[in-house]
Amino acid sequence: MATFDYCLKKTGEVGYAEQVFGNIVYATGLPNVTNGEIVVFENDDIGQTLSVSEYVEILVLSSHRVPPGIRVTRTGEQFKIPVGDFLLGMKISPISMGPLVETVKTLHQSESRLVDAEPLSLANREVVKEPFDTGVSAVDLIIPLGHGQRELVLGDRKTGKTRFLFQTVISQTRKGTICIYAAIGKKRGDIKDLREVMAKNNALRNMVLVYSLASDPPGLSFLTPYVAMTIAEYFRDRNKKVLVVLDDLTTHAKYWREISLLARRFPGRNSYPGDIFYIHSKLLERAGNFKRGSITCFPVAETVLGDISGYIQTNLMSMTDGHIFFDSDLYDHGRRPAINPLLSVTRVGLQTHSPLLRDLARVLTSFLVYVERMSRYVHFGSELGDEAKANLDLGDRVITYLEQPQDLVIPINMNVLMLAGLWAGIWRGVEKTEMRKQIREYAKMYTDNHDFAAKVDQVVISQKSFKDLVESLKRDASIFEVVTGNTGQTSGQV
Amino acid sequence: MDILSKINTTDEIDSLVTAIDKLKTGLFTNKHYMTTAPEVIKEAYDGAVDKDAFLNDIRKELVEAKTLTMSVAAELPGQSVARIANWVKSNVGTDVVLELKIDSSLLAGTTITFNGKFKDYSFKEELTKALDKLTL
Repeated sequence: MATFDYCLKKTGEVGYAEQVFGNIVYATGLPNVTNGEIVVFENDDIGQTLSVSEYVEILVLSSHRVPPGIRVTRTGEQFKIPVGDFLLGMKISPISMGPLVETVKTLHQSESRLVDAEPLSLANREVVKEPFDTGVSAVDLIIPLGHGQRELVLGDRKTGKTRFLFQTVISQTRKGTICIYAAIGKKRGDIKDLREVMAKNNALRNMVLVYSLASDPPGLSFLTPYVAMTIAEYFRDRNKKVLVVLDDLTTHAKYWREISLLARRFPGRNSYPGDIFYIHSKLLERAGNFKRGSITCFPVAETVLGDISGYIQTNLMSMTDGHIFFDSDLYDHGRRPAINPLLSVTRVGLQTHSPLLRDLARVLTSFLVYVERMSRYVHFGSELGDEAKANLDLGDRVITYLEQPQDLVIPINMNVLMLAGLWAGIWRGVEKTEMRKQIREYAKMYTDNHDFAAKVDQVVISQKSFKDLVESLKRDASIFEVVTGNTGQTSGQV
Repeated sequence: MDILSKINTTDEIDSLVTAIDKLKTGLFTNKHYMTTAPEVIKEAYDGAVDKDAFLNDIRKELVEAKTLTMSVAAELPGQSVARIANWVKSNVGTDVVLELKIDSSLLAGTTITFNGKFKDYSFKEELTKALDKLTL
């Protein structure tokens, strides 16, 4: 009972737990306790004050059951965590870094930061201007993102959202971006999988995993994304680029609903409390592009049967700078990743791209819309002209190109060149399996061979528009000979 | 009725509450428990027009009484308890009641809890401070 006794002596205030409802305790006493303050029970369990009125309403952050009549004392502190470079490579739970854990602070002589912090003001922010590469073609080419953007990842369960996030984290850690992954209410097996994938791809050295299990108390799961954001702010203030993944906020909303209903808050729509929007908006507002450093945020939202008009989903869509939609229909048809580019949005990503990439995104998006419309006519068994058939074939190859294995990360310039090459016809008449193999080889060569990478960059930078790049490759596609040994034939262009 | 000024400890409150509950059960029946009613409320009870409301008010007042909790190392004799209770009534408030707990780990002295505030005047605390000084 050393912790309780220490705090009791320090603050000189005590209360008694009068009523216990699950993880909510109503206590009397503690005359000077403040909202959000950490309190300690006699059995050394930790709680956080939710409100102070007739009773002190406490959210218990431990999994033990608090018996009625137990004494409780103040700590005099809000929820703070120690932050520092020592966090890189660690897997942490909010309570293991939380208050009263003096060992960590003393060991690393680190600073402590409030978990519930105010976002930086407008004066400290800048426009999103640097491109953010996920390594996934479908996103980098059609739904481009920027450093400091908040992009919602939306889709049904088991549609490949988490795998996409893994690819993004791997791609970014290779570039030196610090990645904070918040796994909220996940299974132990999922956490283990994540660590294994990151370790295999050498991503752990630039990564922090903040997790809470499904078996943890709801208070702990509720605090997880805030802890992740606090750690992100530490690295941002060191002028680093940071990526925060919040997986997933619909589960987080459900935990807050459970806590609010137990705390007798009046239920609103779908029984969520009235402040559910604020709970997420105050978190996402802490991300952005700043004068020193940036925090790019990928909140994840799960949909049911593809319904993106749900309460939490629409809330998150309104507070983010776009969304990437994972379509279960596309997933069922074998598309990986199952990203529907026509239902996905990026609000600030295009401004970060060069004119060539913007042109490419425009051409590709309009082409995909055209292909989708044409495909409907094919279902009616109508006769098609040669040009339409050529375009449908190109569309089929483009879709094959956008299907990317989970372990493959393609740098942006290589992506642009390969797509332009596809348009120029380098893979005309080539089997799809061979095409996929060559894509993988090109991506590997770009990463491993600096001379080849420099040549690719030079070719891409030298062109102002996508059309110019395609025309130049039609004239001279020798850069592709390193893998294919030939330059293929020119294609019929839309 | 200022019942709390006549009550010293929480033990007395508990027995009074039990007696009041027993009186309430006999109110609207042929059984009368007046002969066993505590003296402290007998006179006021006889004069009360609405006996049920009177008992409810008294009970509420007793249950919600402010308590000053003292933890001591060993059981105190009755006279000492009465002296402490009188001191509390004179210096803290006539509506404050004393609750005594036994905690042998204190060794001697007392700890006091009142209105959410805690003060430690035990011998255990003094020994701990002395040991800390020695260690330093």
